Amino acid sequence: MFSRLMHSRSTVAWGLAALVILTGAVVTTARVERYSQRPYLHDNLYLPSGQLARQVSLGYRELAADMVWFSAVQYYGGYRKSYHDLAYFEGLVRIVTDLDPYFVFPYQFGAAVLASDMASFDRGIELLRKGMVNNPTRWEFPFEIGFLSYIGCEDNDMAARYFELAARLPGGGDRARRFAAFVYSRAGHQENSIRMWQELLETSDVPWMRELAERSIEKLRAKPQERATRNDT
Amino acid sequence: MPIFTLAKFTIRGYFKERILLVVLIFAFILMGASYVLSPLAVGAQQKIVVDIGLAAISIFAVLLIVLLGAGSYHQEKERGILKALLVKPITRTDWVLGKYAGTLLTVALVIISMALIHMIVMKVSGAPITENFFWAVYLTVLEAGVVTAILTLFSSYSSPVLASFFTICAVVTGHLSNDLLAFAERFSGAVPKVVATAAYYLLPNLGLFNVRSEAVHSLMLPDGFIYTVTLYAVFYTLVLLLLSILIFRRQELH
Repeated sequence: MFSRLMHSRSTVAWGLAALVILTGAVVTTARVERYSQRPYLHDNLYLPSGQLARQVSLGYRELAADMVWFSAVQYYGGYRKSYHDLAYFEGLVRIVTDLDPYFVFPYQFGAAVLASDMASFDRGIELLRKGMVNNPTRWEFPFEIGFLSYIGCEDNDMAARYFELAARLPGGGDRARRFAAFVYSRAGHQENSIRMWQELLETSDVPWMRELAERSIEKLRAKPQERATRNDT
Repeated sequence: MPIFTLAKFTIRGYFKERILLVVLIFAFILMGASYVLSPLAVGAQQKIVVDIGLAAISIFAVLLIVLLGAGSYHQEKERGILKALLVKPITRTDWVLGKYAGTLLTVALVIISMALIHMIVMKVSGAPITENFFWAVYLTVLEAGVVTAILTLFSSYSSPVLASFFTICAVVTGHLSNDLLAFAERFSGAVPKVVATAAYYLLPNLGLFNVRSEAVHSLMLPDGFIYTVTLYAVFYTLVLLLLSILIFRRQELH
């Protein structure tokens, strides 16, 4: 009887202790939550350089690049939600591209953000040039350098040269040729423009693209004649 | 064939330790990670699935060698199993080689199982399975061979904790060995230069076994690369096993 009483008392004591501990755990978890969600704007201040990150990652560079890329994407998301500015964005992208130089998307996304959100076309082009050095066979890099040079720097000569370079690389094809031809014409290099349209006419499989090339060549060839006729009169 | 019998005995011992659980945990982590993380990785969903899988295979393999191997080598010494075995027509050389073969075969089996699971995950997520993926897995098995030999060497004369610690240190420095050479070139004095260069050649060059980048980005491997690295792994392992046998033959068993 006594032992049963003692047993039931100890069960109650254990039950009470468990209740107190559980309540404490729930309350502290709820209280601590507000601190864990506090905005700490300078999380990325102590990020290592790309070179150090390469050594610290011990051969798991691609995995490390992915992790930093997650941070970069979330950091950009924080900027879009107006939590902070983009002070560390470029640094994050540089670490990603140092860790995994063949990871193409961060160059493209990084350059677009630098050019559009940070209004720094030069830094965007610089990042794309780094991508081009590391991935010389990818047409996307010269194409996007051309695009930023045309849109942002308004340097038609440079833009046309990069578009032509993109057209020479595998995959560049119709789109790069069309852009090169158009920008050469804008830059006043009619001969080069005709040459690019001619290439497009000969290589494209798309009927409307070939029609466009034909019309453009006619127009460009007609222009000097018009000018000559005007000069005569 | 005492080496094969010992290897079989070692493999059976590892399986009793529920080694297959590692494979299952890996499968869950991999599948979970690829589904949870890939939507967050703008523009790199498939790359991240491949990266995480290949890195996880390599990390799990090294962890498995260190956690299982060191304990197993020591247990047989401590429990007197080794003494009982050596009464039979089994030499110490047989024991070292049998133990090495058993550990390596178990780890290789786990690596291949993880690679198969990873291939299913890759297929589901639409990531291409390239030829380099298979080379990456093959080189992970070779790396496991070298790391197992390192563990065998350290286990032949030290406690399991120290053997694990030294093996992890060797793996870390093995992945940094190229930097040692870079440091050697920068040192001004002759002695540090010679020491750093010697360390570079003595330490295992584990960076050679890493073709994960080539697998992820479908890059070309240099001509004769796989062949040369295989030979390097075989000879490096043989040297380590020879040293382990020499040390173990001189050791007294209590």
